[in-house]
Amino acid sequence: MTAERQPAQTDREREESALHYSEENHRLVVETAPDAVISIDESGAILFANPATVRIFGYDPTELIGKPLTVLMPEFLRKLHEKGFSRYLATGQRRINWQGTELTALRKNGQEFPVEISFGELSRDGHKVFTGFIRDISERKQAQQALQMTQMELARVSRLTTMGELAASIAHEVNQPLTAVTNNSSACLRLLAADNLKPEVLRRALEEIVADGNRASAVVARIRAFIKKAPAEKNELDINEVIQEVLALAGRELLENRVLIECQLTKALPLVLADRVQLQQVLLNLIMNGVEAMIALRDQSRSLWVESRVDESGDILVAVRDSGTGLGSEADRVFTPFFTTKANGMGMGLSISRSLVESHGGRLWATPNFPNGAVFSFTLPISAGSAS
Amino acid sequence: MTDAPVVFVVDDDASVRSSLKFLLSTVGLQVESFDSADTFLRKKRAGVPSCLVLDVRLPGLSGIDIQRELAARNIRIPIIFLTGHGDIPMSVRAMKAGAVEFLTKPVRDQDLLDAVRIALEQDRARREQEKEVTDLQQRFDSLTSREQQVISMLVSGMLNKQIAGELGTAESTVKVQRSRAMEKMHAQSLVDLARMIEKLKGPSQKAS
Repeated sequence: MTAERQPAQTDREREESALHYSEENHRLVVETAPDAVISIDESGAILFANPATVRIFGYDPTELIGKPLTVLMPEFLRKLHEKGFSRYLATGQRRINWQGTELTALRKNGQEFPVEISFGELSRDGHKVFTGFIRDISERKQAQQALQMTQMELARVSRLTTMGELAASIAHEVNQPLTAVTNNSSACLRLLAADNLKPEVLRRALEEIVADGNRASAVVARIRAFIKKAPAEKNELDINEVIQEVLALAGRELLENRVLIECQLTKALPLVLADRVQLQQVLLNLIMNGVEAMIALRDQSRSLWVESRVDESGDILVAVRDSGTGLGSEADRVFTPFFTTKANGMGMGLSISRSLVESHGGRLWATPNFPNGAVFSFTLPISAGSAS
Repeated sequence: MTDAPVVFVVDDDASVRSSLKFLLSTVGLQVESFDSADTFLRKKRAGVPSCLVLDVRLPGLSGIDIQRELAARNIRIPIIFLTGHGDIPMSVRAMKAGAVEFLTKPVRDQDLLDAVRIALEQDRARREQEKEVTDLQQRFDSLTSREQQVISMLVSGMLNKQIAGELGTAESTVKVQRSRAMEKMHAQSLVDLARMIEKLKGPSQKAS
């Protein structure tokens, strides 16, 4: 009702007032934002930094003006940033998500910490200005890691308990017939040594030995059947979802080992009929193998590429490519059980992964990557429902 | 001897039972086998040297439970435990409670036969000792109360004269009572008598 009493504003006055209000409002938002807000020019030099920058990075905004953005990044990201930035300026090609990418940042005191970055661009007088919102997600990450650690520990303990129980049960069930076999045989040997083994006694002992041998092998067969049929709960799955889950699961390892993940996931892939946990195991195994193969690399960047697509025969193909030490002459042997090139490896990972993929009707194989590293690829048939 | 020893086998597995019986029979041992703790505990056992070969894992009462139950009933039969998996805490407990041996299945024949031989020897020795004490007790019980008094004083080191003084009788009476008691006890000498009284005091007091 106050508006009615005010003298009528001209359109221009109203426009200016609105603009002024909008600018004031934007300034207020930027000044009070809990996230660091930083703008850079086309050369990557910092034009502006808001007050939150002090709290998050430890730099006073005035210190940063004119400095390259890369001072806020750890060494291993600087080259990648420069390459990506100049590629974007030249081609307009975006390689990372502009809305909410998780990266590692560097504080003034040299501490690295995880951040989530969103950014946008603005053109002014033919020059581009990029403004980014940088959120410190250390706490969130720590909570996630704690949760992950708990889950992993739980899984490990439950697996160990199951294994321990299984082992005790096997020991007892196999030991009984073995004991009988050993006793019967020893008794026959004693009688034989004393020249007192009657054919009738020997025949009865041998019959019992055969029966107990069969009993032991039946126990083993039962255990094998149990292990085989244990998990396998197949559902229609989007392979990209599974890949994302595993990348999240491996996040800590990737960050700690400074491995950069580059995803080339084809959108809207047909679904696969698969056991989620088993596929996670396979992918986690391939990714961790790739990471371990690159740990030896000191001065090269460590990149792991994960690709998903439909292959020539219409199956889903997933490839995990690393720039690590490669397979050399061992390429054929890596799938053999108990073969390992790692100091404390069991040599079961790839062998198990292959049998898991095969139990889904797919294939898993390795090829060399050029110029270095290895590519592990597997296929999965698309589900019948998805095909129609 | 008519006292042929017996080995009792308790195992829930029929093949294990019959194979143990067969193995033990090769050294001429008599075997009686049972499929559970209950059937074994219900069985009346003859007074011959015996031992028990016991599986730790049994349905119902476990091997360790049987050991405890036997101890509670004051049945002192030597036990050899067999176990499917080397359970160290359990074996320590069993050995502390007096087991002869704790063997892991499948057991080496010689280990088992050695353990059985030691167990039977232990049981025979214990039985002989117990029989001796029972005999002595019977002899001691056949004495008059005055004769019992006299020999108790004798083995405590008193002289005939001192005993007579203590009991208020003639020294010659003590002499007669003494020689009659020695005869009833089948004692050859004073030292022999002292050893007998010592045996009577020992384990028999605990058992009663």
